[in-house]
Amino acid sequence: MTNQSKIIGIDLGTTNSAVAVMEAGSPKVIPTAEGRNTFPSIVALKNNETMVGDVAKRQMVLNSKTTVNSVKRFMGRKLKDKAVQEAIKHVSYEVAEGKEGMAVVTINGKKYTPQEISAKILSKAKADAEAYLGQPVTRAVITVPAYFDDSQRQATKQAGEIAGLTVERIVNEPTAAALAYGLDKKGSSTIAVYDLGGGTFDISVLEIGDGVFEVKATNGDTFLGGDDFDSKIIEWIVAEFKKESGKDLAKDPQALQRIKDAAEKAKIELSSAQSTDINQPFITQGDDGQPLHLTMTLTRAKLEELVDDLIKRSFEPVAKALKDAKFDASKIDDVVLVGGMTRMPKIQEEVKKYFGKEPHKGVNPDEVVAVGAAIQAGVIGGDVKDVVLLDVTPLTLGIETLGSVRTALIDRNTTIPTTKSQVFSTAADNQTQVEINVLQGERAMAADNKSLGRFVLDGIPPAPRGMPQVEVTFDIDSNGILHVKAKDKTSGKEQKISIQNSTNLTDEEVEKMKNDAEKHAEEDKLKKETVEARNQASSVAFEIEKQLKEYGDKVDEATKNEISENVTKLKELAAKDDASKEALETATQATLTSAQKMGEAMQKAQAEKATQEAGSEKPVEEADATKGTETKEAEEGEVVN
Amino acid sequence: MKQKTDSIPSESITTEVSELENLELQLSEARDSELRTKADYQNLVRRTQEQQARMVKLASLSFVESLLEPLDHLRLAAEHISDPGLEMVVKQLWQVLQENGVQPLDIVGQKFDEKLMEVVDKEGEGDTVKKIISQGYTLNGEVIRHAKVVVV
Repeated sequence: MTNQSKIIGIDLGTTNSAVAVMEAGSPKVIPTAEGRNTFPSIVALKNNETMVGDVAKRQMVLNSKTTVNSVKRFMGRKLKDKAVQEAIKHVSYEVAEGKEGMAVVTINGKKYTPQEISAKILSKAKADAEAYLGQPVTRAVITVPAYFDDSQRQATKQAGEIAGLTVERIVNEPTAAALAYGLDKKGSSTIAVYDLGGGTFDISVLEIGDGVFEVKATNGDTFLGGDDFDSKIIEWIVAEFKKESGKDLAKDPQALQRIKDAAEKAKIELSSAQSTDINQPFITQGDDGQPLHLTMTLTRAKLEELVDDLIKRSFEPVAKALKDAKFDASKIDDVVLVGGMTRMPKIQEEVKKYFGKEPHKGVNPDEVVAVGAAIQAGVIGGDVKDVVLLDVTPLTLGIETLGSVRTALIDRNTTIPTTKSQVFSTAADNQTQVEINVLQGERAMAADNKSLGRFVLDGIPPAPRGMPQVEVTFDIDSNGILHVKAKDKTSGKEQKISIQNSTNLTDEEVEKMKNDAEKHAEEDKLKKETVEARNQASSVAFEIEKQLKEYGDKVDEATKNEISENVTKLKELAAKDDASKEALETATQATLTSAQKMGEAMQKAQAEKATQEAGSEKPVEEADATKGTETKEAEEGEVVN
Repeated sequence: MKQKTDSIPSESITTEVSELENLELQLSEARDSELRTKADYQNLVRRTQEQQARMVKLASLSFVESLLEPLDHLRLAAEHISDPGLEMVVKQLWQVLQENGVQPLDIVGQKFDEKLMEVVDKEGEGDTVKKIISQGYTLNGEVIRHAKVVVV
């Protein structure tokens, strides 16, 4: 325990990253080798040399094919994902399809996974921290967006491992931001985290109780950030100059570069000043060769007018997130601002107006996530006491069962780490293998959810349907990574997987699914009930048919024919895809009713038999099984396909 | 011996053992905390020294930085306006700055070096600096502003 290495907190961002650590009980942001508190999440691979951060950014235009920025947008995602296709449009390097359809980066013909690239960013974070602390660093807490799914979290964890870091915990970015403000100590409250960074906007609604954070909803705009604000100012400067001089500076890349720098400077100045002068002498030349100077004044009011639509745009996802979380804006207890753009007074004002309360803004918004990660690291490492931080799983996890129904094992918002087991059975006689399709999502039908992975458990000894007992165990570890195990209780055979980067649905569909979950609730319920009615119908038909074979001679021919007809009808109905729930239920009932006579005859036969074998305590198994059919189907009737 | 042991009520042994364990735990936690604090302190001393050395070297940093933009513009003016008086003023100012450790990065025609500069545009497939868009500077040998360049 003594002198054990420190655990660092890393905010692995899309645009910029930051590192912090607990020192003497309080969080400290670790400066980079270049002396700054954050560094660009940019990696350049040049021959055998790797450059990360500012130095990589400076040569990006020159080596655009071998310099990777925003790689986080590809982490744990498939190439065909809509988000990936959109992100590709914004990068200069090549993105290709790797193993299992995952998006990979191609540099000089060599494929790199996003986790390998991210590992280089994390290696720099590690090296900077080691230089700062004067000791080796081997453990880290890394933050990810709250909406990251299992494969994206797994990829982030892998990136840490490649960088030589033991990832002690993956923490949600909004959770880290809330931790930085000590909101975990406030008892139960609801928190909104408004995160407007360099290139992305995220809104998260959290609920906290007894130190446990629960992500209630997340939303955002993956292409809205500080760069868009800069562009608005640049456009304005160019337009104004054109009005005055008739010269279009947009066509002059060198003048544009000067304007770009001036615009960023003006934006920063207007966060404290009411107006700023933009002076760029000798920006270009007039038609007769005389020098032209750019000189204008930008007021805060004008800036606010220019970016008004961008600010408004950010509140659309905010409204959606609150709706998803079923909270009214006024019910939010605390609002936390994250990201450099939230320094803008107008944004702070709009956030305050929207939620009706002053947002927290004491901690540097560029560093707040890293600071929170360091606090979490401190909790794990023992530097911070009395804080128990537990995350929750954002989406429901389950498996596909008979009739393509999604059966939930771990409900959304369950605090992790957690384990849940459930016993399933087979759908057909003598079925020797079951396929476990692991699903993530909120919809009732399997196909509407995201498949995280599948595997087959074979070697199940042949037995009638419903007899084998397959125990499926879901275990989510403290990093939010899912381990699934299936075990046949009879043979003792088992199969397991940890969810690797395997996704079957595109992001577009997942996003749609999330939004549609509520919309389709009724329809999904009916579908699921119909499937259940169908499963029930085929099960009853199967049982009654079996009984008819054994006890058919105990009833008269007419009854036997009636039962037989009903069973046939029921089987036909159950085989029809468009059979309604009502029709299935009616037919099932009719079959059961007609079979009652046979049941009575069976009981009578058994009673006689019992009298004959007086003293026999054992109930007749077949009769028991018959009675048990219905309840069994209802209770643990989930049958694995 | 056996008798003696038997005579102590087992309840009191259990209490004492658990108290001892508790104290041992507290002691190890206190030791750990002491070591951590010491390590943090030593780091602070080392870093403060490093920072101080850097501070001495770059004491005038923020003042010099604030002079860079007007200086750039003055140089631009001298490029555009051919006037001996203006040239004299620029030369004088440069002399003062150089005496105080400020040096411009003289890089036109050199190979691109990301340690000194940032490329903002390329006009060819090579990596030779063709033009400087924004002048880079060093202060006592350390880059305080990277040059922005066009390569060809």
